[in-house]
Amino acid sequence: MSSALPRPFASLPSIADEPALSSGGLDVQNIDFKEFFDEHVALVWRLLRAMGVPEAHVPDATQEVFLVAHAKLGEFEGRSKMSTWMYAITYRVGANARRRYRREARHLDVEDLPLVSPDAPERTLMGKQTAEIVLGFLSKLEVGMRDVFVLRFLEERSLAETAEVLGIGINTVSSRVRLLRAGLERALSEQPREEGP
Amino acid sequence: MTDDSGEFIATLRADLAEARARLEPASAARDDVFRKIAAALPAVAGAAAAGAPPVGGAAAGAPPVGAPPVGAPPVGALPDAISLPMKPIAQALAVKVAVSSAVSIALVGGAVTWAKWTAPAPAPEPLSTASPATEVARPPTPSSEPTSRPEAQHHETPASLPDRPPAKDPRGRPRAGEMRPAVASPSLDFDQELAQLRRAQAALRDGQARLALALIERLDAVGGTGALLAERGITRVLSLCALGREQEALRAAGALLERADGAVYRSRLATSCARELIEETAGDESTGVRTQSSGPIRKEP
Repeated sequence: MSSALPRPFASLPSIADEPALSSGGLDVQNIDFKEFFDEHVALVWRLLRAMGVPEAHVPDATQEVFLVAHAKLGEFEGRSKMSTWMYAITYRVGANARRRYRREARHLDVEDLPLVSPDAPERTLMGKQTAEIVLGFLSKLEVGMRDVFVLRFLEERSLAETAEVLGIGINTVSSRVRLLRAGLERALSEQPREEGP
Repeated sequence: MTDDSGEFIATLRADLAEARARLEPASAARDDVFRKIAAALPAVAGAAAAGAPPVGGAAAGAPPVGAPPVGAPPVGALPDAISLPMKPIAQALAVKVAVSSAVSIALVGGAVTWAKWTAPAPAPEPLSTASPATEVARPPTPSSEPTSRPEAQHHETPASLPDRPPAKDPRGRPRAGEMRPAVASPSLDFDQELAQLRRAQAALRDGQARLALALIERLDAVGGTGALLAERGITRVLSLCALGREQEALRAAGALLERADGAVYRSRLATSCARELIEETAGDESTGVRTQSSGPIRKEP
């Protein structure tokens, strides 16, 4: 089992040496949960945001994801990558949150998204524009297409992993990816590449 | 299954990374969430012991696990931010203590966890002035909450805002913790400033314009890196508009437009209560006159 250990736990010899408490799962008592949290929080947060969970509810949804993960860690058998497992949990929590807050759900407001770093105000306008086009394109997608776009394009997951997380067929993912690619290419070509002051 | 999208995605890799980065949380927000998770885990154990459904489907009796290296400084914008060191040996002892007393498992487990999390914090908290050992002996404030509703628990931890009474919205419901003005530290780094700004924006979206404005004013009082002054400015204008304080909004909009980076928010201002200012400056610019107004733009009708 040690060879299949995901990266966050690879440095914990006790997990490899001792039998897991729950059959086939990880020994949750020996997991450094803070390390686990640090490893995955960015992934969870941005996936929730990209899925369209209102920003005000992202902290709560993130908390819920990690509480579920904590409860389920003992069942993780390493048959998929840990990141895939976390994507799946996050997707389910995010989908529930999206439904719950549908009334106040709104498109991602690109202007509201913060700068990445104080050291990068001089970052090229082109790079910022392309990222904004990507996020703008994402914000206009309906839910089914959006989720595929988030995982396949934004998160750069494989077709198989996207299908696994979303629980849909790989052919469906593939056809949506083709449509999304055409749409994104069109958006990138149509957007003005420079912006006046 | 062929996947010819890989090459296309590869050409956008840097831009996708940029887009991903823009969706990620500031470190203060991460720490805030982890504090709430850490507070919820002993509550989960307590709720399970009492027969209540665990938070988020958590397993019954699941102990809190792991933490950063001892001495890791708190990063959050809150001065009372708790660092979260938990030594494995101490944790094992805590588990033994908890197991030895089946009746008080939730209280003791919560107390031990709480004491360990709070003890090494550089700034002593008002709620935990006793030593860790003493803290274990008495039921800590956080562990008195496990039987409350999960939604109420994970919005706010007692340790995060000890100097204010619980905030309620006009309907008397407890509000999310991140919606309240946090006590700003004397000098905010970028991440802290960004976290505060995002709280203000979230409050504004949540219809709490007064809170959003208070957060912005608190930021103004503290200072910060100054990297987000334009974002602060637009949030101030929109908050003032939402509060119906149009004259102040116009003044704030004027100040924002005087900034070199304020121009990016012209389109936003054009749809706000300060749109008259945009129309004015558009007129000025068309005649080659650059607006430098910072005082009142219009008198109250």
